Amino acid sequence: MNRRAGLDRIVVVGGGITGLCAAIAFRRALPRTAVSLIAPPADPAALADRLPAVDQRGLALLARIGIGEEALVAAGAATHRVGQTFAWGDAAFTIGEGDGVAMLAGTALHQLWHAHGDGAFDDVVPGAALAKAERFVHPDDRPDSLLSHVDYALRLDPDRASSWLRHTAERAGIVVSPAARVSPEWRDGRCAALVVDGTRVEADLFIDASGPRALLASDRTAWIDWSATLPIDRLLLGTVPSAPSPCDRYDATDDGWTARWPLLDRTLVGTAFAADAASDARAKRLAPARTERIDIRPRRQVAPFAGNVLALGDAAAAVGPLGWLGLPLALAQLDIALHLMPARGDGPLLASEYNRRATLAADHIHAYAAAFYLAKPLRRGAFWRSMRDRTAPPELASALVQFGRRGSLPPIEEAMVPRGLWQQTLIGLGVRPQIADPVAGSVSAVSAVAALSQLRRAVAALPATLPRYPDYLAGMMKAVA
Amino acid sequence: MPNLNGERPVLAERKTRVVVVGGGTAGWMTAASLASLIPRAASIHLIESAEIGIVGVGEATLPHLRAFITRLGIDEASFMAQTHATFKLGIEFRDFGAIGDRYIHPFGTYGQSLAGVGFHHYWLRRHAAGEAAPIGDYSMGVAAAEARRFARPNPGSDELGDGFGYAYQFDATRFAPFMRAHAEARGAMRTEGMVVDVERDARSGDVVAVLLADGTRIEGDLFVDCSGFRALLIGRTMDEAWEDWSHWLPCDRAVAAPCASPPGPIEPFTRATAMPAGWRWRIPLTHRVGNGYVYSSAHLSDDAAADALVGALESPPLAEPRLLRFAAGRRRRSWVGNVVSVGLASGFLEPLESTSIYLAQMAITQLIEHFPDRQATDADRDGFNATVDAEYDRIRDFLILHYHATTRDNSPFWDHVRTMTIPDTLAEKIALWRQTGQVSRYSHGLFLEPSWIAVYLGQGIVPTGWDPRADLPEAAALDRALAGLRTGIAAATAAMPDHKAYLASAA
Repeated sequence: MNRRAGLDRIVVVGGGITGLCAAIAFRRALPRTAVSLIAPPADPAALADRLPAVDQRGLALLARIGIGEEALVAAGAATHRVGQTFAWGDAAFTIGEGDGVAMLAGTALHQLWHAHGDGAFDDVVPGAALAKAERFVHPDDRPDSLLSHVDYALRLDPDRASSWLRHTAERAGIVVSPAARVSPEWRDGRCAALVVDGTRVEADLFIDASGPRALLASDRTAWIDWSATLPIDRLLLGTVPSAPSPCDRYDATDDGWTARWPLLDRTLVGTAFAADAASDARAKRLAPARTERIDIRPRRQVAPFAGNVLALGDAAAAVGPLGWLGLPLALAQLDIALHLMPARGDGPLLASEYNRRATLAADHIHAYAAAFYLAKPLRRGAFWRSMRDRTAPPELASALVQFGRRGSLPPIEEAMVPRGLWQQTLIGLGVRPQIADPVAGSVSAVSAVAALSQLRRAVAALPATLPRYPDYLAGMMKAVA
Repeated sequence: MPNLNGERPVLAERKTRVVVVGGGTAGWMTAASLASLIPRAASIHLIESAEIGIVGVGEATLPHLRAFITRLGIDEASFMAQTHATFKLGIEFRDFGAIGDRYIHPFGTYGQSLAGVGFHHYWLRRHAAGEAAPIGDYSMGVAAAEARRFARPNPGSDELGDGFGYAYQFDATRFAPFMRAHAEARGAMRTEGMVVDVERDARSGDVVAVLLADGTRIEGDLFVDCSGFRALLIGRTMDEAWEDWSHWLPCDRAVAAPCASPPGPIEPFTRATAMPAGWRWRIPLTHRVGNGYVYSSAHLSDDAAADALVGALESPPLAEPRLLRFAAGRRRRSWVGNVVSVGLASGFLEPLESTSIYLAQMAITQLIEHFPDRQATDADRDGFNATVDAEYDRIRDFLILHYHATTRDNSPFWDHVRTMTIPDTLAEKIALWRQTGQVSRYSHGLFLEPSWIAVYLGQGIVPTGWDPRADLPEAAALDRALAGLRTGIAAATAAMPDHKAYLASAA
């Protein structure tokens, strides 16, 4: 007999994308388990739900639980992101999703470029070229094709995606009920019950997807503060009409940054700053007329799986708005939870293993996000000046030391960001190695330059052969419908 | 300091002069790799003395060696012919968990995951009901090894969830000369001589030159210590501390002797048989069989070990038994100043899982990854040491498991390892497995989930719980699927050529 009996009842708290995905995932994995979802009023600062991207790992997870990209696109709930442009310092740079062309002439492409290249690095990244030209098609897998080196993420439309997911959840047999007040009853390190509008609700497993308020946290829940390394604590969020584009754009300002995140029929516009360096009024000069102010508190739980409560999304880790990294982290953590699959009667060991892996993933994504502020803060303005003497988180510090020495990155457990994307980002931010990689340096200059030039020409020629993104997206929506 | 100036990195105007001290397996692997892969960044000068014999560890290897020889542009067939190599699908362990037990730890997986749940969870369920065959029956690598058959894995097909890999068993005394030829053909210099003194920079403590017995002085920028257990530079010169693991891995001697190949098939696997004070290896090559008894000198005398070995051989020894002394552990740091240690000078883990050559290969890969210009920095050393330390530490835990997971109680040696306090890192992994059937997952490191499952189950640690999703399918349907998998693997294995015939046809 299995000493680990399956869960009889799971209660998810949080009606946003994180909570809905978690409820659907557990429902599909455990067909004999009752899964219900309690939706308290949405937390406005739940950025994993409000600025939701799905990376390739997240897409694979969603596909496994029956949530297909085609269906989301057909519902008008998703667009594709092939790259992101950052006007961060002297010259704007664009990063392409994924690893890009990892190897050239038998050596790492970025090392060959460091040793022998000229021009911008994003000129040899196919995904970045597509993003700059605002074109996109799905990658192929022919080994000689540049499109096999392109990757993409989905941006979800927060409103349409959550209503589509809610419909999917209800069809899957998940009871979704709104609630005005939810509070946990903690006893002996476990949540004995939730009190939902005065009614006690019991379960074997509670999932806290309630956003940064973390409604199910106990008074013993410990937090790690990320505010020194993720300095944005205010976001003004507005909307302007626009056509779809596969490229997000960020512009550094004296006080932080602004961003344009295009969806299907409108673009979300963000103005991000730190309250101690700029007033709301000052920040509003760069924002559309009508905006909502979101207060952000970057941090993570020390142990996001405690007793029988598993925190996901901003309740577990709030990584801020840059790059829409919150939902990719939430889905990766959900993926780990599904792999380990809690059971009734589990001791603390399973939760420890989950916490070890889930917090490694969180710390990795934290380090990546922090790179945009701390890797090379040479911009003027009080906000950026104050970055210069801050200590990078250890995962970023060691990446900067190794990349700044020789252009390589240390091995990473539970990697959340592809190595190629890290390399593109650090190069774009202006971090350059002191010494050339000896393997790249051992390729003759003539053949290295020839290979790089050929790649650059091929990448430059690629976008013109592809449809404009609005046409491609419209064709995809029509084909599915 | 990282380079934040946005300048092109410096292509060194002069090559880094690398001096390799010691011409054994590790030394010539290092020289061949640097000469092949970074010829414009490094000049290589290797010093060896015929007066010092080589240990020649690691007759059995791991699949990673294939990537190494491929990267160096070495042709597999000529490599195998020159080293009398056979193929290896895994290691057979006999009498480890209990006397009479046996299992094969394959290079490969068991079965196929279903609905996101690992195969072994379903197997555990049916095993508890007494309805499952041994888990090895669901592994292509194990099934082929049991049948003494071999074929190269087909990378395109994984229909049975039957991924398997292979490595080589070879004559280690032939490997170093093979690497030497490769290195010298690519410009590595070689000097015959005994290092009698080391000249150091008074201020930095870095090694400036080594002096040979005949008065030759050889200067370098970077010194690679491949002098084996003598640890001439990292130990005697730099005095880097040694972290001793003999309380967990008490075997500190081996006695080795080859014998003639028996008639009949050649096993495509290495055998490790537990003995009262350690264990005995058996490695079949094309021209002979390598044997050795790895033991704890606190529990067995050298003469008794040699007698026990010779007594266990299947045919008379072809040479006098040779004695090797070692100690389990590693340098606190394997790279100090401008001295990098590779191979036994850096650390030693007994050959129970054939890791010796892998550890040298791993250190060489890391050296190239962190290769300095003429002046090594903390970034180079720290990056190298972090990876090397983690590799040693994780392999250490895996090896300790082989000793600790036992019910053997018939000798003081096994009493010691069965009852000793193990590292917390290992105790937590075992406890997680026992309670949940889950294997602690790491992205990096040598032995991943299938290896841990092989040893846990092979040595009798059977979890009391497994993934509750494995209880969902109807038992009859699950049994049909298991039977189908087993039959499919048996049929695929039966279609493979006999290992010995395959070797003959490849030659």
